[in-house]
Amino acid sequence: MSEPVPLTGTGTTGRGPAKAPSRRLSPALRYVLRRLLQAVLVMMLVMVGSFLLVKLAPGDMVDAMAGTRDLTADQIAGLRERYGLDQSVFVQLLRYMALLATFDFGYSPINAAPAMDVILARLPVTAILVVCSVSLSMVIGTLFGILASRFAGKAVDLGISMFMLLLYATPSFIIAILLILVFAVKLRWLPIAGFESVGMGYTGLTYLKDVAAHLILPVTALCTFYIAIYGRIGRASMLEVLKLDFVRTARGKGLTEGRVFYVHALRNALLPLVTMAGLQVSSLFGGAVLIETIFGLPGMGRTAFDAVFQRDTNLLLGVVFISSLAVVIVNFVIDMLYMVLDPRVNLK
Amino acid sequence: MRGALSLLGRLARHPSGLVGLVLIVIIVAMSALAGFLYPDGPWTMAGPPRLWPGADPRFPLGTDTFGRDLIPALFYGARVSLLVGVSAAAAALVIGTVVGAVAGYWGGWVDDALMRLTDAFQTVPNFLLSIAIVGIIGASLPVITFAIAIVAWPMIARLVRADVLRLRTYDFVQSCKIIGMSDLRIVFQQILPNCLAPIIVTASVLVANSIIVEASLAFLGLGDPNVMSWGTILNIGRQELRNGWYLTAVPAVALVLTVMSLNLIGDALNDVLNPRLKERK
Amino acid sequence: MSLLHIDNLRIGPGRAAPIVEELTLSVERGETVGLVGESGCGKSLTALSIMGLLPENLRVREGRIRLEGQEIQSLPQRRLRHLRGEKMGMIFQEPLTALNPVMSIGSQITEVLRTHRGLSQRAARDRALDLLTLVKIPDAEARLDDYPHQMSGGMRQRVVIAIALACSPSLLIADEPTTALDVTVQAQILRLLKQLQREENLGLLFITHDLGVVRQVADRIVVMYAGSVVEEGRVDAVLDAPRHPYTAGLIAARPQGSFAAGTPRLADIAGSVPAPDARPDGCVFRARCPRAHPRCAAERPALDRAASGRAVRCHFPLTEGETA
Repeated sequence: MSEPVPLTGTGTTGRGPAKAPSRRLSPALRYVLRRLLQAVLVMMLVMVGSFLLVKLAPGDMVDAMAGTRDLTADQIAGLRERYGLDQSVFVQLLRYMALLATFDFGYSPINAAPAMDVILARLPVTAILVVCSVSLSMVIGTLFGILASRFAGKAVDLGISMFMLLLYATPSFIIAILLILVFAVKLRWLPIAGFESVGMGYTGLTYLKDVAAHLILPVTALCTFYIAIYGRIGRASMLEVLKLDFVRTARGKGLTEGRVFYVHALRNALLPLVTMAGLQVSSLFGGAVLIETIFGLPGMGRTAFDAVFQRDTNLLLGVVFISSLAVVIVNFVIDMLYMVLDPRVNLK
Repeated sequence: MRGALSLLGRLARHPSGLVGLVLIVIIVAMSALAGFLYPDGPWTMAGPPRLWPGADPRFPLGTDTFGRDLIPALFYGARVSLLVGVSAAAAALVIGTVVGAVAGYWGGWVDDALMRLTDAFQTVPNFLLSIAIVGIIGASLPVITFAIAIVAWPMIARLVRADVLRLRTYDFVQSCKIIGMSDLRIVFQQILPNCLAPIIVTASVLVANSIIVEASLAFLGLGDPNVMSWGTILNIGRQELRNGWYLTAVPAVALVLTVMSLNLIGDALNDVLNPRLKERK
Repeated sequence: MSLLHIDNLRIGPGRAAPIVEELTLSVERGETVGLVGESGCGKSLTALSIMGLLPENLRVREGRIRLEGQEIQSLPQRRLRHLRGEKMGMIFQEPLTALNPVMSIGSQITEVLRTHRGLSQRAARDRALDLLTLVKIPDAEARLDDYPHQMSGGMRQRVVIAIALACSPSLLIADEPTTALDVTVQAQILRLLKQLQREENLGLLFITHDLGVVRQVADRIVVMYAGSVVEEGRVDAVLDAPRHPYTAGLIAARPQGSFAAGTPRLADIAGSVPAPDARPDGCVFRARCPRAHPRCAAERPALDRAASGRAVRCHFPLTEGETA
């Protein structure tokens, strides 16, 4: 879902005084380790939250975990033991966390299979959606932002800004419906739903083309909001960086305006955009629920939607856990990437 | 109060602020007048079903699949959107401000713990968590509001924390400490009033976002079944897409205009309240 | 032919009052000119106009800037770019922010050489190494791959100087290059600049508000007030015997008092520099001048040049030994 984002102020300007280079214990390694530890802590908090949700559900944990199934007394007793329901809440929590940590989310009654198996089967579709959306929106949004900053105050900038405002205010599911209406229902250019054309037996390149045609609309719908975000942040960030002293130094050196703009300014202006990608991935896993439902795509979002309506708590919380884990991993990768992009990061 | 009024005045002189204000006044008026103009509520079947806008002068925006007039639906929907949007944003604002202020002012392990909590909430896909909460506890306006607020506060918390971290080193805070003012008073009376500007700007974005989430939940069928939300109409409209896309278009336009008006106000507030940006002109 | 000659320069936004007007000054090869004045008097803008780096809303409205005889004030950016870094270099006030934080020191030096000289990566790196040695950065080889944040302010300013000198320009403009530095570092940088200027036979336009610094580095001094030159001459001559009341006031306002012995007085100049659109008719300094006279309101004094190279813009200049 759309994550609100502050659109001014970028992290590139303020910074501490210089320090003499310290090369005692590799600061890079310390940084990596600290980030890793933070990631683990965050995942543990996610597990605690998940546990709280199960506890919040009407009925006791076994009712929630059992979902709509009719269980025998034996099975219920087995579940009670498994989750340690006869023991203290703390022990229950620890058992629950241990199960999650081994990717054991329990049984999914609606799929008659372990929840983890269901999720693994649905993961690729969502992963494709997320990867395509992140890369597309980042490239397109940044290009818009650069273009707008290049022509700041001119008609091009105004046009782009208005367009961004519209994209920013339109929820993804409305874009999705609009796209279906125009490109699938009226123009009939693209398929209305699904991941592939069923029963056509496509292989090889034809299959890829078929899948791509099915993905154009959902990916576009997921992209628009973040195109606006990247565009707006990119523009603001570029304008802020262009005011900095080192840009004047670069011009004073007689570099071409292109080099000043695209090498000196852009590299600095991109830093806040990179940090956005983590938030975007997180919000895309949420948006996937809407988009996969609308386009009938067999991904994790659609799975979560089904799980909610069929009261399959195991599956639902499994999706939440796996999505969060994916976000944590992406964030970790971004932190590492950031270390390469911004040499100052070790100091923090 | 006078401060708020003068802020309103300055907003009205800002071009995008004025557009936003006019739009939002219309939406507020719609929700305020809903009960007065349409005392029967949005659910009455007033005419033939699936009436296109303009087809019958009695129903300028048409009727839905059950013959319900879309205009009262739109008016009552505005009420739900604003109610959920504002209360969820307010709750997120309170949680975020407290967490951010405590983390920033006390620092140390308190800060670490609260920031990891903030991280965790920013890691779990927000909409997924909202769905899970509403799905598990049950759909009602209070639960929906809670489900939106509980995922929205981290942004405020980070904002407030950063500002408090900066402000607590200032001389005026140090002198408050020296004269023996309690920490709570320093934080709430001295520091927080000084970081209001970014909070106010973010608040408008938060309201807009909460409105989107509420509509999305109702669109998925996870809205409070007892209230008519724009998302409810969108949910009905989705099944009629081929023949009655107006059923989607009408609430969608209302939703987009509301969100856009709040974003415009946010942008304008940012310009008005942020002196650093002013000098750019 | 002067290395740099500025003639009757006027800089300003479109319609509004000009910020710099009637500015004339020149810099010879191998000469250091100290451009002095309070903040807001237009000295930095003058420097930026030479480099062709004026902010977008400001433009050279009138007058000429000649570099080695070539008029440059009306050159398109495309052409001007080739002069920047190649014929003229500039050092800025803030060494902490003057370098790109995400590029290594080495690449920030080599890119100038590659742009103007078309050097290969190898050759440019060798030259960069020489330059770092030239500006006396210890352990230059290891420093090439450092990033700005790993260096102190003084070291960073040395890097900025190295960048400015990379293509052996004939004109170097230094805008308050030492203001942001500690006093001891300040002295080192000044000494370095002075030495480089002599070795490379540079024309150096040194902008500062610090008369002590001017006395240390400059051959000639040009005093600016509210957008125009009010006094000019050999450093010793001007500082020991100022003729414009403003110069005299500046000298008297120094914590150490006058340079001339026997005037142990710490004074300040009453009032402040008027904004460009609030400059009075006649002499712009008259509101703050102890010697103001009705004529000063009626008639703007011209810059009166004597054969000695001394110039003063005042109807009633001080005579030898007089204080304002």
